[in-house]
Amino acid sequence: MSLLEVNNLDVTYGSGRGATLVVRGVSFALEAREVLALVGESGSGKTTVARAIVGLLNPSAGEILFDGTNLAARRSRLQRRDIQMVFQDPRSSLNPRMTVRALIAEAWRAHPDAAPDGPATEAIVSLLDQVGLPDSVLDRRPSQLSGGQCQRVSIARVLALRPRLIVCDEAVSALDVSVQAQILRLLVDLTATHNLSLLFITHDLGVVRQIADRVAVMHHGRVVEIAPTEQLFTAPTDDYSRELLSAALDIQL
Amino acid sequence: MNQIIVPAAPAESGRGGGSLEMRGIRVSVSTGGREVTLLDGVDLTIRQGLTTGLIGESGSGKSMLASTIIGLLPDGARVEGSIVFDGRELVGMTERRRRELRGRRIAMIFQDPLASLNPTQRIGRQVGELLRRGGMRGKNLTESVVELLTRAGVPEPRKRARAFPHQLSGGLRQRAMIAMALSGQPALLLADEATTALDVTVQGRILQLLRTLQREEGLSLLFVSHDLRVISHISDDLVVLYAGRVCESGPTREVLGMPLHPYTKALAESIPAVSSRSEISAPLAGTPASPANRPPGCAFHPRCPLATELCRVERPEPREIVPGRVTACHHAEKLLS
Repeated sequence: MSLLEVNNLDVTYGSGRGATLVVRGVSFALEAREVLALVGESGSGKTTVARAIVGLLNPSAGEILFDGTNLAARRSRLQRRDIQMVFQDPRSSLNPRMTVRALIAEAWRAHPDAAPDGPATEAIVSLLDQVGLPDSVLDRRPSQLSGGQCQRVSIARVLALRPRLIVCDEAVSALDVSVQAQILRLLVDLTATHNLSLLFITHDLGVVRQIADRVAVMHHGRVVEIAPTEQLFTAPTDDYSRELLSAALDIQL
Repeated sequence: MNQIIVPAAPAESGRGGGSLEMRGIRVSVSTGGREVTLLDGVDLTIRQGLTTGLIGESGSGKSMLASTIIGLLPDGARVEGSIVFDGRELVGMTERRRRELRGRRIAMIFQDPLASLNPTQRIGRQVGELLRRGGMRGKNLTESVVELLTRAGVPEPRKRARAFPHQLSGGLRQRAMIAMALSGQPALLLADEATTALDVTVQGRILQLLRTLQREEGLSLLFVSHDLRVISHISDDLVVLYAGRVCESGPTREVLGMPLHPYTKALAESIPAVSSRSEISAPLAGTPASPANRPPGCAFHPRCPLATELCRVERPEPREIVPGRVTACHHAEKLLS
């Protein structure tokens, strides 16, 4: 049984005559500890699929199974805890008035069953350590941290809930390239140490080739091809996959 | 083909020219009673009809450098040094003379065309603005706008001229911005992250368009980006900026083939390849230094694998250690292979 199974997912924005079907019949599965990349251009529907999986919007048709259980429109607290999301811009997804300590502790307020039994500070310091931050950041606010440090805080906050699947929506795209590698390394290491799966949404095919086990290519709301990473890059079968791959630039030497 | 006439333009307007020499540029602003040097002794050359790529991460001052050339700096910014464009000194030029250059001899395009276009005006009206101000009206104006849109590769230019910005795709909006930039017959085009917000397939077409325009119109181009992949495809010369200072400069192929500054080397190595599988690169420690908080000595030393005591105390001066290759690293010789 797969950790996550998406079957014939449709998502519609708007209603009545103005309704637009933005995701059509999307199906894929994600295994435990697997990194699945979801690629496609803007408007392809990849972020919409991610939001439906996290439960931020309701699909109009199809089903999402987690651990074999259908995720209904109203999810249980544990189901919500199991699937977490990391966003592109850490600065706008962290409350600027809160300290790092408060930001992480806040996650436990929504999910008390994930809260530590012992002192919170100890647990927070341990989480910061797991994402490579010193305890000196405990009482800093997002504005006093760099972009890469903010993204580490977002990841620590998500890890505080001990999820089994993290959906990363362009999670390294806003970071400087010299910082990107640090966060990629961290995410990949976490899949092993924390028994995590990643659904990694990105437009950067170079990053995909480095970290993904499999890739799903989206175009106009559909998954047009899904294949193991090296197979997709060396022998894409769909016309659009081929176009996307050939448009991607490498450094020209 | 219609002749585009810009009556208000200075006599030297037209094709040709467009080279720029920047020497020892310092730009400082005071914030909170403290002076911050955003650009600190920058040298940069744009050769006529060629492209200089300016690469840097956030806070490196790359956008500030483009703004300095075009004269759009925040209030209270102080500029020292020299920028010679077509034989004329831009530093200290009166605002009136600068306005004659801006949008005409020197034009600029930005990352987000939606933010730079007026949402309430039709595309054609905005593309023709400079020509209107020059006194052009009626059919001449309409035809000139259509021709500008055509040169920028906008399909169905008559129809698009009547559209509002939100009715166009991101790629078409950027083409409209390019058409607008071309309306002043610039000799130098400054492109600030001009393809960053676009999808890869669209990005490739815009790069192709810029190259074609450059060839056909002899435009000189300054291409500012954080994306080394894009820059490597479009630029003849490369300037690498870190915390407001130039790390290294030289012909793009040579710089990327054999970087002579550890920062350039780390940047080039941190770009994941698409055409072959690579491991996640050994991450560079720390985060980019900012001009407001520049480390002493070499600004890169806290992150540099080659750093020694010398780097902590003494700022490396730019030096030419290979013909045409300038580096500001005390230990650049170690990178020669």
